[in-house]
Amino acid sequence: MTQEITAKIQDQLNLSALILKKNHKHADLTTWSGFDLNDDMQVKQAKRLLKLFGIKSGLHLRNSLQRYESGQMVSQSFEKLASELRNDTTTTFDAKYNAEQNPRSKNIYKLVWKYRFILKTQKLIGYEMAVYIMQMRLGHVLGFIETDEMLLRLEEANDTVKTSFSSWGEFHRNVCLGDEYILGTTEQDNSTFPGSGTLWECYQRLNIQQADWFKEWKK
Amino acid sequence: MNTTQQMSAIFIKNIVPKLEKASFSDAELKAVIQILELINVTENNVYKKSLSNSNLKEVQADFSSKVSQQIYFHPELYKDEAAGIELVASWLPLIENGFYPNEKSVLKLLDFLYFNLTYFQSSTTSEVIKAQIFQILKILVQSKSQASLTVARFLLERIFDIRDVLNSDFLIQNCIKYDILNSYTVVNQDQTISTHPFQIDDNFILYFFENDWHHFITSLHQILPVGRIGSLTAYDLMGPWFSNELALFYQNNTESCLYAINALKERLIFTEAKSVELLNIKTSDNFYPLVHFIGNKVWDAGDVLLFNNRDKNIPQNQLDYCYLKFLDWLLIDGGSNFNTEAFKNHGIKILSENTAEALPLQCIPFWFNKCHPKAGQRHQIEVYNTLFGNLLLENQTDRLPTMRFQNEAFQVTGAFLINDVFQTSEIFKSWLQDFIKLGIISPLNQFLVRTFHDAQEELLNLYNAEQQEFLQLYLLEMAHSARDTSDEITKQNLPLIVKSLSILCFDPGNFTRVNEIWGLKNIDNCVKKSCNDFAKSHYINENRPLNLNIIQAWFNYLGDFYYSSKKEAIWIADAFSTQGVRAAQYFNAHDENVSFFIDRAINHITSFHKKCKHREAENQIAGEIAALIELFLSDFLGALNAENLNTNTLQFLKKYSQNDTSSFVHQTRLLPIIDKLYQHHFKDVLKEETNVFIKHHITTTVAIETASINPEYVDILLQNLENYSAEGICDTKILEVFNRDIVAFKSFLKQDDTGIETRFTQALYMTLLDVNLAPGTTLENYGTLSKSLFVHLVKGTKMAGSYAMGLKAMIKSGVYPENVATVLSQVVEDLKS
Repeated sequence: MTQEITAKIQDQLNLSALILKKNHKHADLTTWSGFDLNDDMQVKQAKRLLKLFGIKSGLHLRNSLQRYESGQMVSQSFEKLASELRNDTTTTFDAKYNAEQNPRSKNIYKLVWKYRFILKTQKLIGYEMAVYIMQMRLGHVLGFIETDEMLLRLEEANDTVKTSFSSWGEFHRNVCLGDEYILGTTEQDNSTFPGSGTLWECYQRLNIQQADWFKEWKK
Repeated sequence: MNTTQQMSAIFIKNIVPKLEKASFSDAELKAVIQILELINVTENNVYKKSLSNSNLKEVQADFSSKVSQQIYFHPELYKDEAAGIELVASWLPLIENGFYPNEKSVLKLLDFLYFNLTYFQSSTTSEVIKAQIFQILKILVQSKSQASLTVARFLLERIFDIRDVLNSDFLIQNCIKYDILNSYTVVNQDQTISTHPFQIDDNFILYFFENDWHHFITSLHQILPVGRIGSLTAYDLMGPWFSNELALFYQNNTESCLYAINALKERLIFTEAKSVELLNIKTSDNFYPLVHFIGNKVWDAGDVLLFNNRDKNIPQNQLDYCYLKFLDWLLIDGGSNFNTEAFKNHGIKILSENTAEALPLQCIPFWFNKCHPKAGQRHQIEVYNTLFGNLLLENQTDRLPTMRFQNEAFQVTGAFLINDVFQTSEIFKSWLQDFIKLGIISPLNQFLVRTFHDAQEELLNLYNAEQQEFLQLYLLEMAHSARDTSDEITKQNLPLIVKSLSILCFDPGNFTRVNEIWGLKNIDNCVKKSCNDFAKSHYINENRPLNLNIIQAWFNYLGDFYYSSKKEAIWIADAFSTQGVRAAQYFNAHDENVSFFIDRAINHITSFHKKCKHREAENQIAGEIAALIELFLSDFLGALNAENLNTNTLQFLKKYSQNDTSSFVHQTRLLPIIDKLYQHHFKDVLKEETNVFIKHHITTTVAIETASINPEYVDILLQNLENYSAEGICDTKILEVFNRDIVAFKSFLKQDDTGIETRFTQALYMTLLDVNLAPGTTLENYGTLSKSLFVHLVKGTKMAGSYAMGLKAMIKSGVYPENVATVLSQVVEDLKS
């Protein structure tokens, strides 16, 4: 049974708006999944995204959700590096940074160095919960998850996010950082990923199109 | 002009004058009168004279050969073909009444016909005449007289004489039209008469082909292909004559079969007729010589056409070889026979209008060979897949078909297919790999799925571990591809796949795989139960030893169970209601310290308990889950040794159980258990810590002289300072070490952030106030060293002032004896300086 989306639920779903828009340009954010279930192409896109996440069934979905929820996906590795860097001085960090060959690792070092204290408590949980909600919405396309369950999980995800951050701006910054941490800083190549915009593009567009959604941080 | 008038004319003109000259006996005369009356020729002398003969009344009419000759034998009339024909035609009324011509007349007649057949069949001769003459021939053949065999012989001779096709055909058409060759009569040498139906048997050969079977067979084969498309031919004439004897002849003369088959093929080509009767000719033993023969020769397109016309009642074992030859025919020349008309119009029916039971097992390798995704040709694949899909998969539910193998019905089994048919054990992986991308929508894969399912536990013997692993991947791929196919295919195959997988994935441990198989339940409801059962067999299997991973999994999947309102991970209900005691026993038997694990687990479980309680009022299911958790905790904690719980856990549990909103308040079973554990533990803690101390004390004193400051010694000292009064052991030596290395100790405390320093100063402070350590007692030395260490640690810190103030207050209070007060004053002085 599909439940009606109340203002409260919409607000909770919106936590994934940015990341969903990035992965699915034509997402209709006012629906449960964001995908048009009658459009084969859109369903195919959802399948493709699920495949990227390694989700083949409801079981895989829930396992993945658990990993994101518990911080195993991003926060743990972030925190590991951050706690190491917190003991470094500028000099020792520079030495480590210069010794690193891989440009991606270099970027990660730079990012973590910058946020090693600022994100000590939050880590990248904002990004993880955004992906958490997006995966639920993807799973809903293929019937892996019912709205009842989404509702329950959304509420808790919402609690986690709302207590960790104090505004939409702060939360979205965390989402962007997480995305950068995972995918690297480079602009995405449009020829490789046609139809997907950069996160920054999505961010701007979202704030224009749905300006009202992201003003009040409802706890 | 009707027959009688015609006859009268010829009689009056040609025959009566002769009769007048002839002399007859009375009996013969009477026959003549009857004849004349029949043809209504009474206005003549013969008749009139005879009537007046009074003797005639008494006698029997005798149609002697003399009379017969007078009536029928008039060769001079045959000079004119028209007149001759007319004469013969005029005989009909007489012959109808049993006045048959004598042999001589018949022979003359046949001679006449032989030479004038062309004229006879031309349009010059009227249809009436033709009809009359054939009528006469019919009566003659069927008459019980010598004429019968003679006429019949004549007809067959002419019919088999294909040098004169037109006449042969003319006779064939009319013999069929008037049904002339029905039975024939032979007058034996002893004048007995025997009548035979037209059947190709020894009599027939004897009377018509000079007792030479080969002569007949050759003639037959020659005439078979002759005829016009759409019209009746010699074959149609003789169709009813085919007999068991003919079949027997073929059975004993294989060479003739070859000619027969060739003749049939030619007949098929020239007259487009099927020749079903001859092809399916059988002996009295139900043996089909010609069909059997086809099974023993290399096929060409003609054989395909013929075989497609086989009788439906032929015993299966006589057909087996034919099917094999058919497959051979489709295989040779790179399968190019697929493109022939013979296959498209006929051969395909051999497969499509058939059942698996009739076809040889060899069809299976043939099919896989032809439809192989790499080696097969696309247009052939479609056709063969449809054909064999229908044959081998339809109406078989989940079983493999019964087919023909080594001339017997054979129930195909998975193990047999794998071992003896596919024979791919060496190249299993690459072989199976090719089929993966086709998906379950391909009948080949459906058949493979059925094969593996049929083999069941045999799979574990048939394949080695690596192959089994690949087989699992293959089956998983098939299952997932079921999403892109029809509901019917999914419902039919998915349960088989899951069953095979649960056999293959039997060994415990690989939970990634277990989950992957378990996750197949989302594809279709038809496997929901079996997938859940499968997962349960891995996660809750009392026949297997437990391990931490499994227990961890129970707690992890509690989340799914809760969020989905009991729809997912449904075996959690079983795990939580039945496995509590078992889990506790596992931990009790576990050597290593598991208290940390249990602490995390209990935290996790109670967090869900809390959520459930929170929603209980509005959601009944949440209440049920809460009850389940309570049940588990009762079982688990009730059976768990108290040693496996650490302080934090117990404090947490105690606190949680007293919490009003989401607690175990009404749990009459659980609460006492927690209380008991709590009390037990906090009595134990002191004892245990002391034991640790004693152990350390004994083992460390030996090396103490050379010891330096390290965490272990810090710990020992702290324990000693905090517990010396209870234990009565005062470790003076270790205190000396610390006094000596005071700088190292201070820097150690600086690095520590766990609050050891505070505990130290607190413990040392207490020693200052202990009267048992005052100067003059046996423990004076311990007291002095403690005092000195205290001063070292506190002096110069911001705490120094407050300690000094405290001590002053103590001195002033007057509670302490003088020796103690003196020491305290000394300490105050030391702190100040």
